[in-house]
Amino acid sequence: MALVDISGLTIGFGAEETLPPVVDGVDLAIGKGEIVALVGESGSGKSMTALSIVGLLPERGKVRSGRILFEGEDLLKCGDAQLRSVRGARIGMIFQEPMTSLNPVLTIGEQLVEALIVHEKLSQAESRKRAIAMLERTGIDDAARRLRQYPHEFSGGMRQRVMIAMMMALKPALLIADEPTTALDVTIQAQILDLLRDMVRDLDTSLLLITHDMGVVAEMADRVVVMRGGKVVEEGDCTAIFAAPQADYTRRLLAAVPTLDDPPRRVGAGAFGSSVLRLETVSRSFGGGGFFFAKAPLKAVDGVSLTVRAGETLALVGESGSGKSTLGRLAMRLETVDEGRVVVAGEDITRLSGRGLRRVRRAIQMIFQDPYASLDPRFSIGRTIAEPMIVAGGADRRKIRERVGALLERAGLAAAMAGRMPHELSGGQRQRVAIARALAVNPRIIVADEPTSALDVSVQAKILDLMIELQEAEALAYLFITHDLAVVRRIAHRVAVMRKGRIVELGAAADVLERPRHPYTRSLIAAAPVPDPARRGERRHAAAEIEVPALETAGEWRAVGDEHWILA
Amino acid sequence: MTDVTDTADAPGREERKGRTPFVVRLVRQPAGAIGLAIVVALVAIALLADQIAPYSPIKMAAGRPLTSPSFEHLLGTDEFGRDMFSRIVHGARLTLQIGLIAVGISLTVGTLIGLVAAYAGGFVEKLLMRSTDVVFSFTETLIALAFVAVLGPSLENAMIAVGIAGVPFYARTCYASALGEEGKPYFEASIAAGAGHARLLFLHLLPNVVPTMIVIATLGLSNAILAAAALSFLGLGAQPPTPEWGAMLSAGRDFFNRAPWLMLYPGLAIALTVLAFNILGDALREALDPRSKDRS
Repeated sequence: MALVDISGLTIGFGAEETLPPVVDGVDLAIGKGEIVALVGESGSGKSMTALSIVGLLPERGKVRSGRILFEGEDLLKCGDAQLRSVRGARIGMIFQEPMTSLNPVLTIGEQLVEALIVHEKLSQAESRKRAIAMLERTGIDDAARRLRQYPHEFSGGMRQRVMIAMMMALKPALLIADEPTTALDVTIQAQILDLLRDMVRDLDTSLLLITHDMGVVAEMADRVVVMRGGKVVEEGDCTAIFAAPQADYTRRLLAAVPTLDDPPRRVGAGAFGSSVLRLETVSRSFGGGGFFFAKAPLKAVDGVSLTVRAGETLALVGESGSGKSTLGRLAMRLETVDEGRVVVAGEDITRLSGRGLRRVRRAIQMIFQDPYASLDPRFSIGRTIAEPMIVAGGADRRKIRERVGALLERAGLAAAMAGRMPHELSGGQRQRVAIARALAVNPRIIVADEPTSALDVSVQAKILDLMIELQEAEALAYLFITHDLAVVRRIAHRVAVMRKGRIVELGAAADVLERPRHPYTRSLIAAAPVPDPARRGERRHAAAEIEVPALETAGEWRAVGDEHWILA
Repeated sequence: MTDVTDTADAPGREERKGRTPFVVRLVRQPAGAIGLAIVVALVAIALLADQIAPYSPIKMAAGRPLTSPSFEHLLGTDEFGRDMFSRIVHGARLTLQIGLIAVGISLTVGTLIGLVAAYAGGFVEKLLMRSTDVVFSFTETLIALAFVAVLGPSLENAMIAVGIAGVPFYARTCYASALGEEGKPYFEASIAAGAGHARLLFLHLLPNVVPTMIVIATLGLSNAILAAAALSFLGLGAQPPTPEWGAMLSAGRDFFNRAPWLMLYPGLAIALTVLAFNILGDALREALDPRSKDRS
């Protein structure tokens, strides 16, 4: 008998008559020791389905019908006390955000030991011993000392290891992991997935993995359940689904996933115009000073030089903390440089201020990652897009209104949407509005900071298409900041790989992605998830073989090919 | 929040219907309707005090001193035989004035300081916020006392003093809220579009902190009324025989055992007023929020 047997599960918010269910008659079975991936885009009901198993639905969410059998018992009929003993002890849960899922005011040890005392009725000393063993098992060195540390002393990947240790210490029958690696860098992601798989295999635990990332699915799952609009559209063996998806939706979902095997954008030499953005040995440090003791400042960007030409996309790639976002903000003058010069469209904006800066900076615009925060919630769409024109002055209202309509259509939206408010729009639509706003002042270059990483893959594909189309029509340049190499492949002409504030490799996209010369670039590419179960484990071995040297102290630029340099 | 279908990410399906008027959105919420009704009633009572009150609020010996509530004196009489009902009705005028004016001063000055400090940063920020902290470290009543001492004891000065004493709290709240908004990408996008200081401050920052400030202000109203009452009690605010709820509440303390209604009714009046403004404030915030669901 299956460990978990969900049948006819229907979940809705509010009154049944008025609101359609968010989960609609879902059947799902998880066998003992099986890894099941629940796949779908946002709003598909995948998280709601999983949360209902542990009785953690949001306040207004109600199970309208169906049953959830766990070890033969219907969890929906359990009392609170019974449910609590199941939660944690028999079913563990790992969340997406490693930064917030641990209590910041308790040490790691207190949190680990607490769970063991509550659920396993172990003594303090025994719990401690078990906690240390679990931490060591998850690959954390010096576990005894680590127990006394607080969550902020751990990196994101380490915290996720702690979460896994915490859950697995109880030897649950089922582990639910909701996007466990989405917030992590690719190299860390690979390690965490490996760990997760080894742990559940060792302890014969079943794993319900909720994700939108087909690469993760291919890497992990035995069986895949694809959800859309609250319903299961396809279910089957992992290899079979990737090889021959039956449902139309699954096919489209898989097709929308960018991979490193897609053909890169290639452009013949001399195809680009003049330089629109030039960074000359810019540096920027944060921190330092300190009230009583001088703290060492952190060099976020360290002597970086770059040029972006008209009509060109330069992708800036790196892991979190590499300084790539700071570099984008320096180019925008949202941060000021400590040293070096920023030249936009031929004008040095490093020392400009006030009116002069406001005029020049219109040549460079920005698209942000979070589509929810990048529009003023109190401005209508039309007003948001009109703002740059109103600020520039000189145009009358009718003209502005016409141009807003034209820009909306340019960004693939209806002109009539000008009257809407941001909260009425989907994430993809908001990102289109952000693009329309950026285009309003006819910029020469757009800095795009992870513009698609908060979007579903199908929407991401469309936004990338739109950006490419706009670029080709108007010779726009992009400084495209991302951590996703597959996206780089879709959009970039050239790639700059950043690590700890410095660019370690720079060259044409095809060269860098296919013939990476710097070990760090090689490790990044090797770690990128491959959405193909047949190649499972490949990247793990590839990534493990690469020895990335410690930070180059005073490296020198070395040409390794045509327009292809590395810092060595 | 989209789906793979084209509909979710596709062009807008229909032209947006006109927005429901603000007042309708406010009154459609039960809290808004009740809060607004009480506040309107209070204002009406204050305006029509002369018509409503059966006796003059300051006439002594309208009845026997300290009589308990009866048909003749609905809420009894005080130690001078003044009719409590008439005093409370007239007191509504003054108390509302004090509350609104004092909160108005705190709100305006505090919001401005908070906004400017958050926006300007650097030296201006340090100067404004550190001075606010210094003022914050004294109790409000003490500050109000100091101001009245300088300005001289009168009801108007009490309002100003209470208002100024409340500034740091509003400034702090506004500052925190504005800092949060300032870090959001929409604000930076506006900078990138070349928006000037005034536009950034008053079109982007201000509207996004106003909802928080409104709620704070409705909560602060009770504070202001009580602080003014404290001043009145010390003889620095409303001068006898002026009917003012706070002063009446303080005066009633001496007779609490013999005539509990002397404290009960002014207290109830203050509580009702504060409650009404609080629930109205909550409803206001909801109605001001463009994301509120209650729209057609």
